[in-house]
Amino acid sequence: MPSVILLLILPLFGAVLCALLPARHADKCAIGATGGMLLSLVWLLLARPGGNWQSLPLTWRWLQGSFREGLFGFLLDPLALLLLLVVVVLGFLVVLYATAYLGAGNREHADVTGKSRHHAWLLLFITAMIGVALSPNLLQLYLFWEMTTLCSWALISHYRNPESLRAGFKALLMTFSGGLFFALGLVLLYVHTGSFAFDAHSDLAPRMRLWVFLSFAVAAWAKSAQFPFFTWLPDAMAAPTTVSMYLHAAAMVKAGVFLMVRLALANPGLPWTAGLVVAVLAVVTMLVALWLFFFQDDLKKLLAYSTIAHLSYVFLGVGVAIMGSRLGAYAGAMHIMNHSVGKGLLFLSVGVLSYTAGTRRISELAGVARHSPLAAIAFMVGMLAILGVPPFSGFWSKFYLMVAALKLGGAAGWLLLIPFALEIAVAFAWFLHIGHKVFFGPASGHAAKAGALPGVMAAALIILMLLTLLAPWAAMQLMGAMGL
Amino acid sequence: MNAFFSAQGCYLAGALLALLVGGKRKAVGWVAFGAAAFGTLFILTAVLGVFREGPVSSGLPILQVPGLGAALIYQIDYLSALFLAIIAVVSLLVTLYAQRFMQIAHYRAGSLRYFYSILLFFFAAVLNVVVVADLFFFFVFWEIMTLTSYLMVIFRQEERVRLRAGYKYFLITHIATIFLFIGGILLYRLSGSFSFSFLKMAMAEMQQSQPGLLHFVLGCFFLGFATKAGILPMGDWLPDAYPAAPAPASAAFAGSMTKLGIYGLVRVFCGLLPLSSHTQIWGLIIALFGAGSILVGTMTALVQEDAKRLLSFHVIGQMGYMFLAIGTGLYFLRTQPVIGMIGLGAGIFHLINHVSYKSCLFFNAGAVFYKTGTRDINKVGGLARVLPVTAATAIIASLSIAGIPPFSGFASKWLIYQAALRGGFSVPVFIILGLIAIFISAVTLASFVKFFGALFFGKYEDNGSKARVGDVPAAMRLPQIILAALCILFGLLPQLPLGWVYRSIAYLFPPGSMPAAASIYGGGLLNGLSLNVAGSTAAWNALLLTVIFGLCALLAWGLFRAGGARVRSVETWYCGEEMSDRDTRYRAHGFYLPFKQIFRLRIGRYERPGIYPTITWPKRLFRKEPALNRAIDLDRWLYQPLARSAVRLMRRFSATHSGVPHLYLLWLAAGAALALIILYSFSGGK
Repeated sequence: MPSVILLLILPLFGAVLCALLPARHADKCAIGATGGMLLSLVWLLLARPGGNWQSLPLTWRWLQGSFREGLFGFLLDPLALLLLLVVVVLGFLVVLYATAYLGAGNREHADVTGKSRHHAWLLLFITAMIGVALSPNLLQLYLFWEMTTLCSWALISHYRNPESLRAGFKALLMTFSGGLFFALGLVLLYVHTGSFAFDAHSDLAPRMRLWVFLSFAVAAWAKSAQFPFFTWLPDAMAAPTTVSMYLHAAAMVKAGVFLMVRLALANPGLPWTAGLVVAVLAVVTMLVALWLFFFQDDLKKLLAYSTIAHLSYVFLGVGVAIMGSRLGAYAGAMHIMNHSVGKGLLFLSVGVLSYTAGTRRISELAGVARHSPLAAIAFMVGMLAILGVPPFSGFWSKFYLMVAALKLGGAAGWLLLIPFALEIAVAFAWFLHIGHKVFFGPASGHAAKAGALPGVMAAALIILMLLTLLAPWAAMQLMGAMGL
Repeated sequence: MNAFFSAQGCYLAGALLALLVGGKRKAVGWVAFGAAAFGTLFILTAVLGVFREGPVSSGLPILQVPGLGAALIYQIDYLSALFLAIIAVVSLLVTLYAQRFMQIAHYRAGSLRYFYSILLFFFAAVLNVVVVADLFFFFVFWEIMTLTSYLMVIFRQEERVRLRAGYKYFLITHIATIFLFIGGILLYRLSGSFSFSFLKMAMAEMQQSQPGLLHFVLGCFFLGFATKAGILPMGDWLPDAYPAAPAPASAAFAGSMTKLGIYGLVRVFCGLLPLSSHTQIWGLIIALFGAGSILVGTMTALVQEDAKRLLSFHVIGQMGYMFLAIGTGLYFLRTQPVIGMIGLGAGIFHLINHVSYKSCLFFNAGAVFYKTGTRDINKVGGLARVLPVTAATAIIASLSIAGIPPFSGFASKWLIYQAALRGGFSVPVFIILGLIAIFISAVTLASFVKFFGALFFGKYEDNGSKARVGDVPAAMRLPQIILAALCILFGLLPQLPLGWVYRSIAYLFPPGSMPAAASIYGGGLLNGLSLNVAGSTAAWNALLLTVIFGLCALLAWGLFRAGGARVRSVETWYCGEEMSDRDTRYRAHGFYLPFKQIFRLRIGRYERPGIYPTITWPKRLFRKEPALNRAIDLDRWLYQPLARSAVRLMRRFSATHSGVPHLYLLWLAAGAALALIILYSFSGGK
């Protein structure tokens, strides 16, 4: 238990310190806080009786009152641990990376003043995400949920130029409007069942169940940038790469899909129609994002659209699970982790291009591999992880998803599988094309003049590359403990 | 089984060690060779153990995938053992050859560590593919194999042409793999497990209950395996990818990777699919695709002028032979098991032979490249004097691939002809397929007359190339000699490999259901092949005939010597014109001109020589922004207007904030009244 509290408090403490202390201490505070957080996670994992995950879930209630499950507290089951691992491990890596990335050496955005502001908001965001992961009910989840929205606004607007201010405001407006539906769902749920518990949907009348679930789904669609609420995410790429990687690929956008997986696993009796809506919208999002791949010249925007498509994989899994093939929800949960490491790696290697070559435009880059081999290898590994080539992470959950869709049987299964398979194939073709174009061949001017890569950034890349191999194993273990 | 794991450890350790050793050209090559040598030793021990004591299995699953019923289980049966042996030998020869070949300046010293590491990972993956007994992990290793081979294709990534080849290869095979996935999952739906033994039952069940779906499943498998095997039209990646990879890698592909397409095909269509109308239908389809590849692949090879591209098209043609043989075998397995077994055996036997001669030919082409720095067979000639060993092995391999007795290619082709033609007595379409196979054998010979003649005959000219003096180093000669020796050995004693082949196939079927080996290939190692189908016998005794022909040749030579004729050696006479050797040499380009003129592909205004179409993709996908973009740009027509009208609404609302107290009082009163009405209506009048 102390380790859990430490986990929540350390980044918050770090955030306060970063904000108050002079800028020259920012890096130390941030590294110290996230390092401590990482250690307390290790402690948490080791302190499990017998060290196995079967003894989860751990619950701790606070302000119990008349509530069945308590108003606040912690729930640490394998699903929570899955998100927690992503948030904590990637949080540490991104802070490590940011200590070098945000600085005078950055050729795209030489930034000397904003470091402590960046670190403070980022650490606050990590706190919020840990809160989301550990929430035992929907109410507490909602509070931390909106906290992440706020941090996202501040971090997207980090550079304070008109473009990023606008993007930050847009993201805030859209995710917050979606969040209103979360509040609506909460109110409806509480009025009808007197509970905020994840599994309270089962106590609702079937008609009501659909509407309550769909209002949570709207919130999740907005948070996870699904059609028709996806337009804020590509604009949010105005943020520093560290923020794009952590908030808009690895952690914050995962909150929405995490909520969906939670609800789908906790409530076996959700209506079939709800599943169909979620799954069809997922497929639509996938195809829209796929179509927009072809028009991107900014590597980060391309990755943003790919993130949108991959989040819809999770939605597809959830939809399929509600429609009757429960494997889908587990597959979606695994994809949360597998996608985070792969996409995180991609973003960080694009960050390397920004840092060393000063551009991330596809048309200005070629032959990067010759002068920045590590960035090239990292990008290729991340790409293969995203595209689903074994042994890297994406393959495993994608295969589960295909199995889940086909297990559904009948026309629905095929109608979901075919666009999914199409997306896999075309995304494969396009990303491989871009990978070849940017990293191989004769070097372009920008690539040939690339500067040196700081050691901490290289270290973050290497650790993430290893994680693309380890993540699927951990995800499978966790889901096995969750009852897969 | 332990021997297999040790071998696995050798390859992986070698791969990591190669990364560590780094940029020393010689050291890194020896590390790779050492790893492969130890690995081969272990593999061959395992293979011998299996052939002596029967199939082995790893027993308990090494890794389990929760929720999928997939587990990493290894099983080495005779078929796996056969492929293990092939791959191990190829890996040994390839690393030995690469050790010297990769030292040329064409390859950067710093990049060699990656090459060897990838090469060893590739072999490790290939070895795993043939021994896993679980379809899910089969897919995993299959994809790792694809990935590592793709990396070898784009190894010299500075050159765009190699990148294009690698791109095409990876994309096509990945899409084919998605089909494999779908086929596998459809079966899994019935079995609940990916283990081969469960899938076998699922197939039998599906054959009864959903025959239509089973056709779809088999179609997916066929697509996946045929793409990897390079069968046209799916194998279009092959003629680009093979030449793009370094010569040792090309030999490794020809010797192991494409052959796994055959392995998968045999494993699924013979090992899992019960004998039924499905085997017959798919047997025919496989045979038809095979014959198509034989025809198109080899005819296209005839007009190629890049040594490795020429060989690549022959890979397609030769894979066609294997598909034809296996398809024929599958078709007749149910009705006439003798022909069925001849066909299947011929397919696998041809595979073994193809590994030996095609790897040898790729080594030959690599030796020429090593010597002259070019693969264009127009630019070189007369190399027989400079590269005597390469020339000798090249001619043996060429004659073998062209199916000239007594070399190995003939022995397996002879079995293929037998299976197709004898099957044709009952199903006439196989006669046509058999005739295609025989005709194309002649085309193959023509193609290799060009290949060999242009490279090795004529006068040697240096034409300013960076040719080194003397034959290629021993490390490059030895693999060629070994492979050429195998071509002769298997040609003279086909019974030897056929014995292993027979065991590997017969084990896939219920014991006793297939005719005995002796009734199919004849008995005794020295007796040659004698097929006995329905009372009629066809015999081929290579050893005997070779001895007879040898005696004849000796006699001719003796007569020549006895006659005492004088041999004059003079300059060539060019009808009095003064011409240099360079002008008069018969170049590869000049071969088969009428053929090139007859076979042209014409579609409308589009015209190109040969029967092999090449698709050129547009440089840009979209000339201008398509209308669909505007439709999905929700910001433009939904959110921004929405935001603007919201702002307008707020403006209008803010107009009420006029600063006049009386107006505020009015608002207050109106608001209170509205609230009262709402409350009243909600309380239902009480």
